[in-house]
Amino acid sequence: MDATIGYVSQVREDLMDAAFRTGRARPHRVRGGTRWLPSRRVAVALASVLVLVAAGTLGWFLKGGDVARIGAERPASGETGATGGGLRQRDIADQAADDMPVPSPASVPGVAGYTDSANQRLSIRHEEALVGDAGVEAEAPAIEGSIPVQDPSRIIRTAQMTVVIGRNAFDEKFAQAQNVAEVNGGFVQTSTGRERSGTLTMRVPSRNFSSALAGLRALGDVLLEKVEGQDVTAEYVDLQGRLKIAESRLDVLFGLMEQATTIEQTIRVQNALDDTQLRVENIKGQIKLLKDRTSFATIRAELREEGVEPQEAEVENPSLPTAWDRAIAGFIGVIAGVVIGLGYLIPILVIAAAVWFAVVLLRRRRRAAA
Amino acid sequence: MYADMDDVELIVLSRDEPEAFGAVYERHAESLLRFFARRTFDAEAAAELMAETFAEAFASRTRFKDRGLGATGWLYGIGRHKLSRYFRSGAVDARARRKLGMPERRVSPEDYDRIEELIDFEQVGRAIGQAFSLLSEEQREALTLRVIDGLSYREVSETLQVTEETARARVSRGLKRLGRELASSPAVEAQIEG
Repeated sequence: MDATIGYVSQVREDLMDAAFRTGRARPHRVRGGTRWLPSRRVAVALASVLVLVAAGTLGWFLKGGDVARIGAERPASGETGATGGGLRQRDIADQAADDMPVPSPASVPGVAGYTDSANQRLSIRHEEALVGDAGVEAEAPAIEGSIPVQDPSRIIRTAQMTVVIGRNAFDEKFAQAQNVAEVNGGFVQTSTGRERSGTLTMRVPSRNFSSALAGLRALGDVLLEKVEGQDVTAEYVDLQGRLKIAESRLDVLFGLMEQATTIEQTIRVQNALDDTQLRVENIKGQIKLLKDRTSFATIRAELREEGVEPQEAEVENPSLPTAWDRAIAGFIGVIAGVVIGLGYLIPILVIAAAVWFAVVLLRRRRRAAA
Repeated sequence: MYADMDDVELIVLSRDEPEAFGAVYERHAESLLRFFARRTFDAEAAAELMAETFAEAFASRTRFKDRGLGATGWLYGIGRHKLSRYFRSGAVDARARRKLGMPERRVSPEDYDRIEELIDFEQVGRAIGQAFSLLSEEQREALTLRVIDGLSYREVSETLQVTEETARARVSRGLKRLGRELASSPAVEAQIEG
């Protein structure tokens, strides 16, 4: 060491002073790379597990949240009228222009309060204009005069209900339940009756959905009621738009067909024509299906006498295959939960990743300085 | 007391026994000072950079790990970082020294001369001369006129009877080449690391 440079020895003294002041005060911390790396790996592993668990829990809650709305929703008459009203009015106008056959409302025996006022007949005609296209015989009674003027929109309604009835009343109540379908202008699709319990699936016109539910509720104590509505209005409108396009294309093709002079031209136009006609039929079929599914709600009702075990319990015998099926269903459920939860976590993770990246960058820079 | 220990051992020891760092300082202070002096050509900046580098090294001695470069690599790594900061900002910061409560010392006139001696301008000049001789005739001419005689590019172009763009290109290419040659010159390398 060249002691002749005063600055160098001066700095040495300063450094030693500083060492004396700070060096002893700060206990030596082990931050060797060999120790830091595994601990970081453990931290990363723990963090990923935590994220997965959080995602799973979140997803499970979100999934469960959707299912758990049992009995919370009871459709009020005209509840959907506000949103799709304008649209549906136009549909009605379209339908009317199509000269839909309007079957005269046939009064159903046993229905009280059916008044044949002109006003109600008008509203029924509107409903039936929609229903009629689905090829369903529309015998639409007005239940207690509560039919909304607006069309029940393009909503697929389904309900599930479990009603507990009094002892020895099953046969009578089961018949009444079937009657509820008829009274509301619907029909029973399937029914399974046992000695003291049974299920039936009925389809009723959407506008009588709530009255049908009320009729079923009146049979006994409602144990479970689950109502779901799937709005397909957008899909319906979209289909109609596509139908119009396809039909206008059809017109154009017919025009071309007339102008075609050579065989080749004719064949080409014919091919295009076939495709388009197929598409028109396809769209029409879809519209019809949607109309059917939206015009008629599906209610699955289970009736059982007091003290009778739920039917599911009878069916379920613990066996290896069912255990396996359940395990698989559970596994898929967990995965679905994780996926849903991850979806919610993604924005949070992105922010976290950005922060982490910044920290790592800072640390690396600091280490580069050292 | 510390004479028979190597730098890595000393630094590790200095975590618990800060005096050990004094020995590291004694071993490397002057060569680091020369390292900075030859790059900055400024005795004051070189001295401060040296002090700052050691202060930083001392403050982060607990983070030192031997990555196969030994203590020298580590010290010069810190030094290079400080140097590049100095080149960017034009000033030596005193962050590490302030953190340790070290005063910022002035460089005395005697020290100034001694530090400049470390630079050994003669050797550096020789290296530059050597590198200069490797340039093409055209580049040498253009560089001499522009850098040493301090002429404007227009004057250079008039003297050499070329367009101004050509004059610019020759000077720029010459400088680039000179920098490359100096960086790889064995003479300069040896001095810098020595």
